[in-house]
Amino acid sequence: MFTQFLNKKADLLESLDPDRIYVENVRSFLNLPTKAAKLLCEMAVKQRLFKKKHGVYCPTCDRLVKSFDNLDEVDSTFECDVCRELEEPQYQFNKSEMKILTFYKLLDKIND
Amino acid sequence: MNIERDVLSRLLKSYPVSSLRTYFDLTGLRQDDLVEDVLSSRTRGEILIFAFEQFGYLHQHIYIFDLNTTASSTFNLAGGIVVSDNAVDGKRILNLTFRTEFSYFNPSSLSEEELYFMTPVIVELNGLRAVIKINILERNVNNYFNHKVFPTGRNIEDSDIIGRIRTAMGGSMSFTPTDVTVGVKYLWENNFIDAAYVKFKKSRSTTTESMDEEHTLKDSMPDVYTQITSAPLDKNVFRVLEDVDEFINTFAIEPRNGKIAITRFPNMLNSADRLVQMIIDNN
Repeated sequence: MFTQFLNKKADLLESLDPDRIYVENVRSFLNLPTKAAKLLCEMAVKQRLFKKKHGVYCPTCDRLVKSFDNLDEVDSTFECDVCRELEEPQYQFNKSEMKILTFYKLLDKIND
Repeated sequence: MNIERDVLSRLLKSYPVSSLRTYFDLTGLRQDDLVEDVLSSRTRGEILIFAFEQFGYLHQHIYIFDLNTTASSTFNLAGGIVVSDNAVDGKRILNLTFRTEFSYFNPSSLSEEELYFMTPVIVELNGLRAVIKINILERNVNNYFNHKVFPTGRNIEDSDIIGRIRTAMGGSMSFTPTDVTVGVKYLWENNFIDAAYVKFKKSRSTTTESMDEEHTLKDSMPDVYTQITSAPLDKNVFRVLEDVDEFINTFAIEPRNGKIAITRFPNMLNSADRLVQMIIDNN
């Protein structure tokens, strides 16, 4: 049973993208409440283990269109090129229509 | 609002500024100025010649069909105008225009009004293959007003235009969309293109992969790409990886329906034609 548990954790870890770590990834890996997982991520930022990123998501297709280091860097308008190609009625959005989600990037101590 | 000058103005505005400036040898910078220059110095006939010679720069839907028999010389088009019908490089090329009417409710006049557009269409007939290229019109009527209007519909869609072309060629002619899945997968396998968005069939579900930012599927998720190589493709958005300057950065395609959508100005006049030919040649 313990081996099964470890294998599951190993699978979760393997599927993780070190450039895109969401609070939910941490919550499910460590089996913590969401608030605690969020706190842990923020502590990791302070410890310079994680870098905080803000992803702008297209309200039509939910695709991550662009990511930023700081919220004040987010452009006032953006275009989802996939929705444009798919000829969705709306593919250009302003800041108030954007969905912004926070994620974290694992810092490479040598390169980052 | 719908006099010939207005309709021709809307037609000219669907071309890139660089095309207008180069073709008509103009020096203006703003699109409105260039269009005004053309309208005041050129005839309707000259503008139509421009429209078809520079068609390759338009946003367009391209449909590829298999025909059951070679087309006869008969072409009795109803609900459209045949601008020219010529043989070029062994192909029969028909240049057509259709009037598309967008209706909308205008709060300023408190009435339903219509905006007319001239839609240029090219039909290429080559043996048992037909390629129909239809200019994609501006979908947002609001872009033509300084105040908000409420679109209520349009009188014809691509399917109506294709139906009229089929009827014009005679009742016994059948158009079957060419399945270009093999051609698309060949270009994908050879890294000419990679997907930004892909919708494909699994045995018991339909899966969509929409790639974040500028990532592409084969590059980022080779295991998923391997699954797709044997799966039927639905709707996809591809980024061109090679010779981008000579083609188009991105395009959408429904391979099983033989339909390609180009919603940006191609980088060169023959970019769209070359892309279609590459898909057909490798199909």
